[in-house]
Amino acid sequence: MANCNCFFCLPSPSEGNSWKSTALCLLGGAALASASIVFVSRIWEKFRQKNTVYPEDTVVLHQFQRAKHVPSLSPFCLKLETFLRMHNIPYMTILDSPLSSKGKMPWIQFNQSRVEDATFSIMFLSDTFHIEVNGMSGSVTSQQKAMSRAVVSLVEESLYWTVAYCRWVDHVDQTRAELPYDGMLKFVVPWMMAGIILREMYAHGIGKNSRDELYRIMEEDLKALSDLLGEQSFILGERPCEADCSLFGVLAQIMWTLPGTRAEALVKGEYINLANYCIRMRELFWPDWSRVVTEKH
Amino acid sequence: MSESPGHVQGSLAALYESLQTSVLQLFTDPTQLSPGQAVLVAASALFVGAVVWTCCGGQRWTKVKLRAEFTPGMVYLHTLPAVKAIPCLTPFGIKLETYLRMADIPYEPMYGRSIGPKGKVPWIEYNGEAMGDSGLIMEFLNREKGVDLNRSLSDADKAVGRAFTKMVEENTYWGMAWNRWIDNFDNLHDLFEVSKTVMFFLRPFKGRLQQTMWAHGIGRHSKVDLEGIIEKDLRAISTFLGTKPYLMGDEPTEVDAAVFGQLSELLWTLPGSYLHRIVTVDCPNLQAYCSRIKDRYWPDWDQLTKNAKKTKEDMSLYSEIFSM
Repeated sequence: MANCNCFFCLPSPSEGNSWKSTALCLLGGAALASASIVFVSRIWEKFRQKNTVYPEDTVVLHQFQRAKHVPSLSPFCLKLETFLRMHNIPYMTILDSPLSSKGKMPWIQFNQSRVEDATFSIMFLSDTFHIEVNGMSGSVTSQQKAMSRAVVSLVEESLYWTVAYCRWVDHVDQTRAELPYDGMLKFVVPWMMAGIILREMYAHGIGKNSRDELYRIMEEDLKALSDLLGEQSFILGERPCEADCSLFGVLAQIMWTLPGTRAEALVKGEYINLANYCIRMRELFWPDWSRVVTEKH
Repeated sequence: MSESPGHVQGSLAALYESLQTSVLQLFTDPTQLSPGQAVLVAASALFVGAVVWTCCGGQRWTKVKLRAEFTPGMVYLHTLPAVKAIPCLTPFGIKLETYLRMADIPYEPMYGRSIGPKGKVPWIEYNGEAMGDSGLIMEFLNREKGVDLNRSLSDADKAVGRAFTKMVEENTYWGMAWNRWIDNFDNLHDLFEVSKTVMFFLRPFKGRLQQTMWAHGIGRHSKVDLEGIIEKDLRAISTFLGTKPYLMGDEPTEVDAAVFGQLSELLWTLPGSYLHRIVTVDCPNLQAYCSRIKDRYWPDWDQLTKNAKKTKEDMSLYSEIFSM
């Protein structure tokens, strides 16, 4: 046993019935450790919130760090931020926030309100800023609005998972190079993400498909989006809408963070109108793209 | 050792050394373990366990027992048996069987005690091979049998059909699952036609569904938010359908099988729920649409549901299905 006087080297209080006391110590240790982690993280978060004052009438967007080739590796963070820019809503970003109470990103604060989930945030902002989310009423039929909801489902509930699989499970080495971390995190994060993604996909149902089937779903989803877009500038016609934010959020990941993958080959090859669409969205809503991403040219 | 950067590294190194000592102590002479060492070991074990658990995604593959003899070219459809309320309790079973009837593909229904190769139901056996997932089965049969329910559609319209299929199966579906298994669990014995005792043993699947929906993401919303999402989905279908007989026009296409599969469960197995209200009172065109498809493609609906009888085997089938 070590001879120093630190807490960890104090001698055991009891001598007799040592197995029981050891087991109790271990159990107690585990309980204490878990309780302290939970306690500290909650208290720390409350402390941070109390001591931060945000400007009035400015949306505070909590999201992940900037990435090398895209403003965010999360399609939902990119979706929400693109929406804010699309409607010229004043906002600021906090890049080291904890996850929302639902364990997800992004989430926003606005004056005294707090909204989680990109979709609910968009609904809240549309109400607060009186925005017609699917283009000015009149230029988009109610049928088209209904259709755009279905398109968002295709992008966020189907295509998104195939891209997540491609990124975190199939092409983890390329992804590691995209991560804004150094050292141990560069290895631990991909492993953890792969596990999380696979588990979520399995729960969702889509994860029960084989690798080939997942890529077939990806290809058919991209084909559907390409056919829907056709020669139009945006998915519903000549004016951008919420569905474009969702679509851009996911397509940007394929365009700029998955080099050499089948996903990239599809978007830049057979379905090139999607690639042109991404460039159009980037030029319109992210003129400062090269300043925002971390890899400077 | 007193400068700031070195200080942190020094403490970490000391911590690591103490951990090494503690673990060694645990394995050589645990009786001499101090409380401090016990805490350190337990905390590290928890941390490592958490990382390892996170890194391992859940995957399960089921082994399937196939028929010894089969007729080549015949589709053997494995699906859930009928109850009084509906011919099949899974929307994907109604979808697949409706598709087979729309496409005039001969099939033999098998109400048996087995789950498909992906741990899902319905599934089929075809020429001695098992196949899972209703969507992939439909694609396969389209190629195999030269069928195309979407042949009259433009590429853009096929895309719209795909989008609505995804919405109704990947999003709206969870509204039905939540309402049936979580909100309405205490009345499920009626729908499943079993005793309350049997439902007692199926209770763990309620918790498992909640976990599944949490992992999916949709289960993280409050009940009010979730119901709002589902309502918007149903209204979108109703708006898009409008006064048309079928979703894409005058004749049914593949998306109608998928949408009918989901809506039929809402209409006929969830009486009194907000879902039933939406598809009948709020959006009556959805009820008319379902009746239209039922009358055209399920003339034997009443016969199937009246002859429904429950066996113990069926109960195990349910519990296997819902242990997703």
